[in-house]
Amino acid sequence: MDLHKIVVKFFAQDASAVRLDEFIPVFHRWIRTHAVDGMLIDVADYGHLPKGPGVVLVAHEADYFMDTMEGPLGLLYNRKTPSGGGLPDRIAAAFRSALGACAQLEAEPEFRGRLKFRAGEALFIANDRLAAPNGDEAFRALGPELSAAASRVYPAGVDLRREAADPRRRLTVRLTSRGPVADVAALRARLG
Amino acid sequence: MAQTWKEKLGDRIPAELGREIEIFENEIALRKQGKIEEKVFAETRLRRGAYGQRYDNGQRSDGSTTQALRYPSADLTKGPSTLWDAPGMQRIKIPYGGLNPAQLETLADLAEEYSDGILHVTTRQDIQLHYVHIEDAPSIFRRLAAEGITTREACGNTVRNVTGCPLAGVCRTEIFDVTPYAKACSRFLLGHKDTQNFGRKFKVAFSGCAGEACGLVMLNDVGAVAKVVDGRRGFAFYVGGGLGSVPNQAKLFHEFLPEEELLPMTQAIGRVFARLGEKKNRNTARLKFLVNKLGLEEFRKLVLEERQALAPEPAWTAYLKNLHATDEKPLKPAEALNGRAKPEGFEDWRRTNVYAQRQAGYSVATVTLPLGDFGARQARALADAARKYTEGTVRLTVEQNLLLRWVSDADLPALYADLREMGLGEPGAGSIVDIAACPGTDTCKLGISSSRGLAGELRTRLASRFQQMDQAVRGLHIKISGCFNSCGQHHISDLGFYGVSRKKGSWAVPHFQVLVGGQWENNAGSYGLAVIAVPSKNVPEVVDRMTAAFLGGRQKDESFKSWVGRVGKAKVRAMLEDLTEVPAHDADPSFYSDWRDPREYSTGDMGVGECAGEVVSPVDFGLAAAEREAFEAQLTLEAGDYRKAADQALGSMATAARELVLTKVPGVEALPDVIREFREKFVETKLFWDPFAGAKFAHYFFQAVESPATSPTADSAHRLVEEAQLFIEAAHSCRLKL
Repeated sequence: MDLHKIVVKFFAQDASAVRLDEFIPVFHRWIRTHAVDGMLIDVADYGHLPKGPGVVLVAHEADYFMDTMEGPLGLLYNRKTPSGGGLPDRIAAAFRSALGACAQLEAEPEFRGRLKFRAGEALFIANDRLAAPNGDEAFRALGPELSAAASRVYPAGVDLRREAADPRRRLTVRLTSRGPVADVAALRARLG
Repeated sequence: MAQTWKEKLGDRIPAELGREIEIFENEIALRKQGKIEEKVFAETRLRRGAYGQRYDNGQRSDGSTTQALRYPSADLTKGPSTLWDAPGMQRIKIPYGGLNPAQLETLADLAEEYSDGILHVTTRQDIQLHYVHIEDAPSIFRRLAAEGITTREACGNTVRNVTGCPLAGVCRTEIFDVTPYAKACSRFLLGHKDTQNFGRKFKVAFSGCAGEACGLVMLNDVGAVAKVVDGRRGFAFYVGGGLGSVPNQAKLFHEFLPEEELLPMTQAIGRVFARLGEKKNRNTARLKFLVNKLGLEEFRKLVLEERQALAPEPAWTAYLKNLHATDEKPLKPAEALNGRAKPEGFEDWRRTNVYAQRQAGYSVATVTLPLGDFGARQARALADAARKYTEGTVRLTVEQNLLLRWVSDADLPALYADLREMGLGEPGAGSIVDIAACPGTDTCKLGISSSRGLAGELRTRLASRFQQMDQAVRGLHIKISGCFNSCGQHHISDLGFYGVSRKKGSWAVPHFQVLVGGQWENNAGSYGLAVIAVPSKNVPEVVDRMTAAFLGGRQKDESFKSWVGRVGKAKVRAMLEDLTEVPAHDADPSFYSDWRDPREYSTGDMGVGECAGEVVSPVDFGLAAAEREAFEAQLTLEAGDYRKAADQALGSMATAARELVLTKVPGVEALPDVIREFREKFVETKLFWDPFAGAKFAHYFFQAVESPATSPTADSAHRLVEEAQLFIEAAHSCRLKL
């Protein structure tokens, strides 16, 4: 599957513990300090929109959202430009960047002790309706490669559950770890 | 599986649009090979709605320093100072704001796959996607074309989106439904040979009646208001309107233009504009300048001559044979609301967001889009609602909202519940909380202050007490632009704001000019004028004071505009004078950053923040004096003394110029010396220079001195007062560079 536009989301354990506008200064600081992967460009604030993309850290290669559109509040990483390797490599790279951002957020002084991400569960979205239309065929084609990538993240493997039966939506898969995991920092460390 | 959208969509893409897209795809390839000049490529992409966006010059201030943004394509550009890989904005034309559910779904897909998941409705009923890569444009265009949407001529020196009253066909006050005329006009002018050689953009609007605001005809280059005379359909036909930095009310070109003359007359205007309109200086290239330069009578004479010489085209009248082709029908029978269970909050929503159609038993529901935004998931849910409750009759509005029409009254509670579920069930459509704002510093390269940040802040504050507000305050309009260019239409609201900057010691401080006296009704019947500039962080207090004073002082049923007129701008200014004070940086640093942007405020690449001094220099005092003089000119204008107002406006520009000159050449006093030195030391050196408008504002001054009006009219004096205000703003910007 020639899929490059890859979305990975990790949900906050307690969405009520933080406010969206708290992420704005943190993301601006990240641009200044080059805190996460990519060439960071700008911060977009959509906090005024319920069930929207929240606050976005825009980068050239990928965007980082504190998102409320794809389910409850979470860090959503949206890879836009092609990255190297086969599909499992590209998916693993997206997990690496997403987990890195989650771990970084948990460690920021503004959020320390308040913001924790659910490490044992993630959402994967194929953000390309041409390469991966939301249907059974594409899900079957994606499954092995997604599992291969996920096994690098989750030592006990994952269960994959296709979400969003609506064909208009993007091909969306929920990954749930089959075993206990420590936290996002530990998962990030596994990816080197 | 298809490899490209071109293969997948195949013949769903109309041949002509497909060819257009292929041409652009080739131009992208050629530009990457360096075989097309950057300025040529810029115009070609602009004509397809692909704009540049903030930071696309590869620089971004992070508050303390300016960082270089090192895009992978290095020095490759898509226009002058516009780097190839920098994210851009894609504008998508939606003629008269009309959309069907399938189109909404495609827009949602594009927002997710190529943008940041957001669809933004503009004040011209377009949709904009932000943070789009130029190389994604052909796929975007193909997917839109397959649904009958084109981005062609969404930007550039072309006919922009033709706007129209979103209530057309269901409105209680319309003379007739303007939809088929707006659609025909949009199609006729798109790509027409006579609209390809303009010096500047060209905007057309339609309204079904004169009294409401929905069409905003008076601020368009060409505006048509429905009219019937002796049983014949036609239009009151206006020309030369426009906002921008110097707003102009459209002038009545024809009391009654018969319907069959609508397209040929618009074509004739286009030909005169193409032939005689300014081409070199884009700052004076809009049609309004040509009409003012020639005078309405001479302009009309030339257009009528042109009209007589035109070779007939079948498209002029073909659409008239089937004017009902655009008629909409209800999905469900008309049924009263009586007895239906009503969800909590329904009545509040209904009061502001439901409009009873002319057709009994049906309503238009306004979906309030916060700051004109909605998400991809919401777009799909709205498409579902349009299918569930209507036959797919969706319109976007110039107030940046979305309408569902032909909803059976009995369905309103269920529709409201669905909108609540989507997160789009907010009441307050068309009220003081329904604030229109341009993108401003969020994404626009021209933005000076954060219009969306301010709009969001005001919206939050006002919404929290909306239900307790007096009806007179609820009904006010607030519109905000990030700069003087007026994309937020700040001139036509009760309270308008546009972004400016000021200096406090060595720090730049975001400000907004406060405008009062504009009129939204009567198709934007009059334009407001600036009374005072206040720091961004004091704008909420401005709103509170103005609304409280209005409530306390209004006479029975007096409108805000009338109250301002009666009280006078001097008193309004006095009411706000203390809010111009900026606390020292140490005392309150929040004044030195903009709304919802924690960075230390900056107007660009220049450094701020190193000096902690609080020295007020003579030039700052001098510019403040110039500002006062400009304000006095406004008051004189208001009193009807046009001669004196014009003189005062010119005097204020001379004061500002003199103060700048004195920083370089001490002792200069006489006006000829000031002009000479100002030209040499500030204009020719490009010190007094706007990055986008160039020397435009300096030319206002030179023109006022060199060609003074012998007997100023209300219009010309008004224009000069506006120009003086802009000249002084430019002087402040220049001051920041000194």
